[in-house]
Amino acid sequence: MMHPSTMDLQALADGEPLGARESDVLAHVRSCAECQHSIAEMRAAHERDEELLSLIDRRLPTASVNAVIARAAARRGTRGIRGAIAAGIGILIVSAAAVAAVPGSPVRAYVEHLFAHTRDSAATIPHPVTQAPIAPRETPNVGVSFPAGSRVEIVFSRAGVQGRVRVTVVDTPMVRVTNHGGTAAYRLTLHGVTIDSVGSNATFEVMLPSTVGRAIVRIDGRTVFTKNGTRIRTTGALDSTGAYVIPLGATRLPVDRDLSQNRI
Amino acid sequence: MSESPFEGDFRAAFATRFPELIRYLHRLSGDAALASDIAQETFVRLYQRGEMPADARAWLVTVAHNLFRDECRRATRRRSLLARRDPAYTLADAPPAPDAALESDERQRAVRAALDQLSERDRQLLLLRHEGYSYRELATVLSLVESSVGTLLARARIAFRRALEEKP
Repeated sequence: MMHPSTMDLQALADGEPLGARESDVLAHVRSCAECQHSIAEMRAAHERDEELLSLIDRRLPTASVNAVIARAAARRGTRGIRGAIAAGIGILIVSAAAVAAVPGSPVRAYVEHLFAHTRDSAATIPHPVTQAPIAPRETPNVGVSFPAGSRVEIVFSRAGVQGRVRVTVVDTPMVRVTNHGGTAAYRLTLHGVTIDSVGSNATFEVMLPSTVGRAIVRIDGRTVFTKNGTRIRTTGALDSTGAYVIPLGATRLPVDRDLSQNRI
Repeated sequence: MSESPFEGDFRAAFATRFPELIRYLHRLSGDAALASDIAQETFVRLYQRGEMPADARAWLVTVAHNLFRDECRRATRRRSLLARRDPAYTLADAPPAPDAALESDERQRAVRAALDQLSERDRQLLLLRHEGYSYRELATVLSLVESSVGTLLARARIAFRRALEEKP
């Protein structure tokens, strides 16, 4: 038989069983001085390792088994108390709900009072979306949403040449302008929003309600999109999703260009 | 009041397994207080379990590993202590003669540093093997294929010895 593998010799040195081949390996090792020497060296190395590892041992804190049992028992007791408290709170909540369901009960009156107070408080806070945008407001980077009036102006005051605007006519009451990539500041104006785009490669999504009578999109003073009733004029192209895609570096909308194919 | 069969088994397990578990955890972590806390908590969990697992030794080390991992993750303070692992802070034995102390300190530091260089699995393999764990037990505790334990253990041993040699 050839010499057993190093792994087999290692397993023998570790006192591990070798399964079906164990008798063959042992028979070889008994008659092979070289393998016996290898196993002896491995065992010596393990002993040296153990000696080294024992160097980092120290006197460790002892623990009493009774203390451990007491700790486990105390924790079990605490769990029982916690469970009882939780059950008690649960019963209280269910009882209160049951009493509140009875018409004319004081609990019901109190709950109604609380809800009435909450409604009043809510009524005093103006909803940020439904309020008309009368004062300039800046919202960095995320986008704006505002209710569409009869006229909407979307103005890009500073725009990179690599970005684009996608205008989609939608059946919602809100105008929404958001950007992906780049950095932009939004300022709500009387009729719409002015966007200061700092990013070089931003995509702006404009959701324009179909109910808007007159809409205009300008980039750096150039008109690139208009909506007049149902008529759309734009320098952009209609893509497969139904959006008008206009490069931010787009040229001015030609006055005499017939874009009747873009009519909606 | 007579003790239940489980309590008798528990006490027997504590007497035989607690010392080896705390030694192993100390070698693994380099932190005596942490090793003591985890070893005790492991036995608290065993008692709360109410019955002895089929392989108590493997069960204890598996629970201790989980607690150790949780502890390392949870406590930044603990992590900083583990990272320091300076034997000068953990040795409590009476100080030997100056020269011997210096040499002993250096060797301890070298062993600790060599262990720290190993991966977590190599360290666990090496240390558990030195606690007398069989290949089968190592496979169970460390979720390894039993047939690969020999190879992985040999690599861990080589890595440990190499790390020791590399240490100035």
